[in-house]
Amino acid sequence: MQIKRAKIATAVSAAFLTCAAGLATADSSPSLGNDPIRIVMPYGAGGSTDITARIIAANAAEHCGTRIDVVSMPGAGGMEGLQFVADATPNGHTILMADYSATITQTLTEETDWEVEDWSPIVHLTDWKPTVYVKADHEIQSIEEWIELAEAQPNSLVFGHADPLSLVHLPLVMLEMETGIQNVHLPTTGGGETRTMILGGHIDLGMTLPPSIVSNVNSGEVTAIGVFAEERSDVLPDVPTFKEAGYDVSFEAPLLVYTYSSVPESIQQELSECIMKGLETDTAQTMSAQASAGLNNVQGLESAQAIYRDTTARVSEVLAAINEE
Amino acid sequence: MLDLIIQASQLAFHPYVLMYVFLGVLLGITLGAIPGLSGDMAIALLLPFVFFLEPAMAMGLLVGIYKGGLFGGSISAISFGVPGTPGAAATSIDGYQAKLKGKPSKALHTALYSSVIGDTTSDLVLIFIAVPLAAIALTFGPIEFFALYAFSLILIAALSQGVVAKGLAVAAIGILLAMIGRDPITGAVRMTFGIPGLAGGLSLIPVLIGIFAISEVVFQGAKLWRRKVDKIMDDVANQASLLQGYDISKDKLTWAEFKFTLKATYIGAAVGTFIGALPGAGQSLAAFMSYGLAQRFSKRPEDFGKGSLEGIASAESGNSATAGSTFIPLFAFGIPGSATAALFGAAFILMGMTPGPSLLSDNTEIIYALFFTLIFANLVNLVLGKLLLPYYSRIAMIQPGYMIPAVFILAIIGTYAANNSTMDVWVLLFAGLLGITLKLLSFPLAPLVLGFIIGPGAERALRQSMIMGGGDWWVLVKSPIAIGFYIAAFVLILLFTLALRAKK
Repeated sequence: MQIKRAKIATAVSAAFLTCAAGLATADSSPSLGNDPIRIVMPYGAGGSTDITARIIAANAAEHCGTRIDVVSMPGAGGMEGLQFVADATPNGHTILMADYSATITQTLTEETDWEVEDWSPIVHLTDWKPTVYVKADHEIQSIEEWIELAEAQPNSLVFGHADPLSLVHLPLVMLEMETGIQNVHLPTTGGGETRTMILGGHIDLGMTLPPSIVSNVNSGEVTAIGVFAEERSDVLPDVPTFKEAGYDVSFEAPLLVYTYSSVPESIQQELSECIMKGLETDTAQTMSAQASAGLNNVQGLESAQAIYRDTTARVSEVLAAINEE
Repeated sequence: MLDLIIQASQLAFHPYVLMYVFLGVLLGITLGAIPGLSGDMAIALLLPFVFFLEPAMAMGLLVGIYKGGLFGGSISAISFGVPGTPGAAATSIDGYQAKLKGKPSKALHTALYSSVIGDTTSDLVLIFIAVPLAAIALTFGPIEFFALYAFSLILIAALSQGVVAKGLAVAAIGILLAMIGRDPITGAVRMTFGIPGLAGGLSLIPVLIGIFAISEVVFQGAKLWRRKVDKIMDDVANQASLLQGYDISKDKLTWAEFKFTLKATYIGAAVGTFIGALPGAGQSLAAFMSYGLAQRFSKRPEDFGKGSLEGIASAESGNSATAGSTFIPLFAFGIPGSATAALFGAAFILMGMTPGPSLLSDNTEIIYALFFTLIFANLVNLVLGKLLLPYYSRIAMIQPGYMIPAVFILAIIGTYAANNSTMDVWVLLFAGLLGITLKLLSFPLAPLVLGFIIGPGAERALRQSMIMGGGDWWVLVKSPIAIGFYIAAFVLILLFTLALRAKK
C-alpha cells in the first residue's frame, strides 16, 4: 500500500511538472514550429503572382526552417482562398499572398466573414504600377492627347481594363474623377485579352501592369503613354507618370504577404524576417530579375502595414465616389 | 540556316533532353489518364524546377508532359467514360460506347494514332506559318468571337443525336449553369442563392466529371443492382461472356479500319489547328467542332454516338491538333491563347526569354530546338502509348463491381485536387444528379457541357460587343467574318435538315 501511494505521488507530481513545463513554453512568446508552411494564392496557377510565390517557396524555406508549399485557390473569385486562411489554425503555417483586390476591394464590396483590418500584412514584396497603353499607330500617343480627345468627344473612346474594380480599373475611375473625362469602360478577362484587343485595333486604350507589355513596347507595336505611380517604372523608364503630366493621380498596387490577424505577433515577426532573408539571397534576386518579379526592394512588417493602411483609405475613397454616381 | 539547324538539333537530341522528353510523356499520359489531373496541373507544379534545368531539357520535359497529357485524357474517356481532361470530353462520347461494345483496344489505338497525326499537323503549321496565321487570329474581336461561339453552339446542338430541340434545350441549361457566379461585366455576384462558395461560379472539372462520370457510374450501379435483385440469368450470362470472352487479339485495329478513320482525323487536324490558333477558343471547342464536322461528312454518320471509330478519331485529332497552334499567338505576339500556352509563357520568362515578336530572333537556337522537340515528342508519345495501351485496355475490361467505386473515388479525389476546394466536390455530386436526370429523360449530354464551356466566353463577347456598339444590336453583323460564320451556321443547319428529310 505504501509503495502504491508513493507511486501515485510520483505520478501526480510528474504530471504537475509536465503541465508546468508546458505552461512555461506557452508563456514565452509562441514561435513557428517545423510543420510545412502553406502560401495560399487566391489566383490560378501560372500567373505572375504564382511565379513570385514559388520564388518565396524556393528561397525562404531554409530560413523559415521548414518546407513551404504554394497552394493555388482561385475558387469563388479568390474568396475561397481567403476563407481557407481565415479558418486555419492561427499558428502562422497558413499564410496568404495577394494584391489589394481580394483583401481590400472585395472585402469592402462583398459580404465576407472578415473586415479589412483582419488581415495583417507582414511582407511588402513589390509595387505594381498600372500603365495605360495604346496601339503604336493610334492617333492618341500621349496622356495629353488622350485627355484632349476624351474632352472633345466624351464616351467615344473604348478602354479595356480586366475585371471591374480591379487594380487596373480603379486608377481609371480616379483619373476620370480628377479630370472629368468620360470613357467607355470595357471589362476583359485580363491583361492578355486587353492586349489582343489593342493589337487587333478593336479598342482604343488599355491598362495593364508593365511586365506584360514590355516586349510589345520595345518592339514598337504598342505605346505605353502613362504610369499611375509616384515614380516611373524600372522596366519602362521612358514612360512618364500621370503626375509628371500634371494630373495628381497615382495608384500603385502593393503585392503583400499576410497572416490572419489572430496569428500571434511574435510569429508574424518571425515569418516576416525569414521570408525577407530568403528573398535577399542572390538566388532569389536572380530568379526575380529573370521573371521581372520586381523583388529587389522587399520591405518588412512596418512598411507593409503602412502601405496597407494607405491603400485601404484610397480604395474606400474611390468606392465611395463610384457609389455616389 | 544549315548551321542553325545542326546546332539546334544537337541541342534537341542531346541524350539528357531525350530522357526528359520520355519522362515527360510518361508522366503526362499517366496524369492525363487520371480524371481531374491534367498535364496543365503538372506543368504548373514543375514550373519552379525550370530554374534549375537547362532550357532545352526543361522544354523537353514540359512538352512531353503536355503531349502525353493530351493523349492520356482520352484513355480514361474511353475506358471509364470519364474525360481525363476537358479536351477529351468529345472523345468520351464514342470512345466509351466502343469500349462497352468490347472494343477498348480499337478505340484506344484510334485515339492514339489520330492524336499523334493531329498533333504533328499542328506542330508543322506552327513551325511554318506561325506569323501569318497569328495575324488572322488577331482580327478576331468580341464581335467575331461571339459569331464563332454562336456558330459552334448552334452546330453542336443541332448535330447531337438528331433531336435539334433537345440539343438546344440542353445547351441552354449548360449556358445557364455557366452564368452562376460573377457577372463578367459588372462584377456583381449573381444566381448564387447566397452561397459564398458559388461566387466564383461552378468549376469546369467537377461539372465535366459529374455529368460524364458520376451519372454513368450510377447508371451502371443501378443496372448491377437490378440484375442482382431480379437474377435475370440471361443478362448475367451476357455480361460474363463479354468479360470472359474478351480477347485482345480480336480487338486489334485493322489497316482498313485505320484508313477509314483517316478522313475524320484530317478534319480534326485542320479544325483543331485553326481553333487552337484563336486565343481562348480551346481544346474542347476544337474537339466538339471536329466531331460535328466529321459526322457531317462521314459515310456512316448514324454510327456517331454509338462507338464510331471516326467519332473518336475526329474528336481526339481535333483536341490534339490545338497542341502546336496554341503557341502561335504566344510566339508571334506574346499572347497566350490557352492556359497551357500561358504556362509555357511563364516557363519562357523564367528561362529569361520574353514571349513575343523578338522571341524567335533573340533565342533562335533554343526555339528551333523546341520545334525539333515538339515533333520528337510526338514519336515518343506514339511509341510509349503503343507500349502501354495493352495494359490500359485490359484495365478497361475490369468487372464493373470494382470499376464503379474506383471511378467514384478517382472522380472525388481528382475534383478536390484540381482546386483544393470542397465546394467543387458538392458541385460534382450535383452535376452527377443533373446528368442522371437528363439521361433518364434521354437528353444528349454533350451539348450541355459545350454550353457550359463556351457560355461565359459567348456572354462576355456579346456584352463587350454591345458596350462597344453603344447598345445597338446591329453591331453584331458589322463584321464580314461574323457574317460569314452566321451564314455558314445557317447553311449547315439547312443541309442537315434536308439530309434528315431525305433519309425519312
